[in-house]
Amino acid sequence: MTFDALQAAWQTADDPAPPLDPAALAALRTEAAQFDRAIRWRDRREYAAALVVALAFGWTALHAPGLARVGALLAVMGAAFVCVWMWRVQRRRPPAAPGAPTAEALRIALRRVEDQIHLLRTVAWWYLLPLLIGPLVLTGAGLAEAFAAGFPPLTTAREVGVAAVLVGTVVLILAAIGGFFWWIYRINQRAVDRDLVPLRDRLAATLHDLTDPDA
Amino acid sequence: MPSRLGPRFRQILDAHGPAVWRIVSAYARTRADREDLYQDVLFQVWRALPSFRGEASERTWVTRIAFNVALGAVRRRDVRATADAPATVDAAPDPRPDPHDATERSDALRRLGDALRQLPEVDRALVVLALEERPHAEIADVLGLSVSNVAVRLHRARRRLAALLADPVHP
Repeated sequence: MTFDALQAAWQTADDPAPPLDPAALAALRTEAAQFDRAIRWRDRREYAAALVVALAFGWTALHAPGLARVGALLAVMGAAFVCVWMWRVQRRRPPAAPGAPTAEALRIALRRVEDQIHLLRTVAWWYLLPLLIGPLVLTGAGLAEAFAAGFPPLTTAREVGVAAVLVGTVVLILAAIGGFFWWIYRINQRAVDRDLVPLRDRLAATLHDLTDPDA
Repeated sequence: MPSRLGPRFRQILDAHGPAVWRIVSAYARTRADREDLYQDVLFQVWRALPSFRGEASERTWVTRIAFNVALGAVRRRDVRATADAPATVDAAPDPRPDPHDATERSDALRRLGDALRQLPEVDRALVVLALEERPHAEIADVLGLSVSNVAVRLHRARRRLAALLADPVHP
């Protein structure tokens, strides 16, 4: 069969498009609106959480003495840094217009996926560390000041035991926080490995096929 | 809802709907897939219509949307299959004819459809546009390639299609 014959068969196929289904279009519109709303609410939750952190540690910064004040200020700055970083990344590269040429749409999609991969790969530096440093300094300052002030007194075996329990509790809390942050880090890396890297490879391969004349 | 779709959208649908329906057939495995893709394309056209400024012809613009939606769907499907399925699963399209195909499409068309679905995505796009009798300049405009590149690539893609039609890979 010649290509001309294939063209004729292709264009005259007795297979009409189904009639427009307004209900299906309405459902898609609702779905898209729900998705946009979910993204907006996720962003708002992140910013609200950062605001709560900033307010709580801001109050501490106003009232705490010495190194504790530094820790609280670091926590406020960390929360602000995380917000600004997320805002900057989200606005850096908008998606391609639906009617963009295929190569351009693929190129933009690829860059957006690479941005996401970079964002999640470096989550420890721009998200976890800024949120962790302030509270760590604050906790360390509190402990140092307590011990410097002679609390708890370590004169009897019972007091030494109380001090050991206190220190153990602080260590346990820090370990729990560390474990939680490690878990956040791991789920981000898993998302990259499982979803984003295959997507990036797929996009890159298609773009290469499309734009490399020797492909 | 129908009254709110607008006359412009209806005109686009009348003029380009059949071509979109044919184009998405090359990227769908089943009739249901094809209908979903078709509705997705129409939805994107409808949503993007207010921002269409006529930088490209209406036909080119609608065709770009059709390919962007279809390629996106194939990509999501493949990535999901890679993530969820064991590595030994065959990701080739289901060669079994759709029940509708058996009644509604000729044998030649079914063979053409099977062969198209075995082509790499880019070759498939080129061949589908050639089957639509789009000039090379328009194919270049839809895909974002140079016209000379289209000519070379299309020549190769047609050879691959001919080889598949002559020797279909069926289990």
